[in-house]
Amino acid sequence: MSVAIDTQGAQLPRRFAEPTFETFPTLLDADNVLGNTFGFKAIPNGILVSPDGKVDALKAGRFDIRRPETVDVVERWLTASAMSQPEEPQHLEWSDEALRLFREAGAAVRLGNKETAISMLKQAYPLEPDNLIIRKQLWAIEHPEKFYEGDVDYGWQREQLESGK
Amino acid sequence: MSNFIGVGEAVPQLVLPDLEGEPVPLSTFLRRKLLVFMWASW
Repeated sequence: MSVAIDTQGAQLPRRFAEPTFETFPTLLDADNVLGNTFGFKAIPNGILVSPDGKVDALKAGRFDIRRPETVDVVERWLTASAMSQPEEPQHLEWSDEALRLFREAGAAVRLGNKETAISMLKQAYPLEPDNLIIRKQLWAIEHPEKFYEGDVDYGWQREQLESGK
Repeated sequence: MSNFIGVGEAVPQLVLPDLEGEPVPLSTFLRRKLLVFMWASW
């Protein structure tokens, strides 16, 4: 299954998830509740769960099926009866204030108050300069043309990161 | 840092909406191995 951390609501992830609807379900984590349970500060992430509901492995960041490392992790997990050497990712706690601002920004943007959301995310970002969930969500609200018109513009994102925006 | 769920611990009993807004408990999917892919549109 997949979980989208999209604070603007279901409409934006739906477009990307629709081709997979027949294969697996997608849920929405607009307030980063599940993400925060694991301390994720970026995406994409993988949570590998055993049938009894225990976490077998956590992959924080760069969990991308186009990468051979990711395919290897998933294949080993699927064939193993139990994970022999569980890997612990580094947990990075969000500050309470940053999480509060992120959630309030989401509530604001879902009501159509884009400027309020942008201002809140701009307050949250300096509290967590390494937090790509806050940063990229801000970009997506402020510059939707870089995300939702045709393909996502990863070159533009790299430029933003390099220029510290 | 012990507030986080780590390897070997139970996943939280959360209920999240699907993309139509219908609430879905994560436990719905716990019949066999479950891969949860966390992503975003941005």
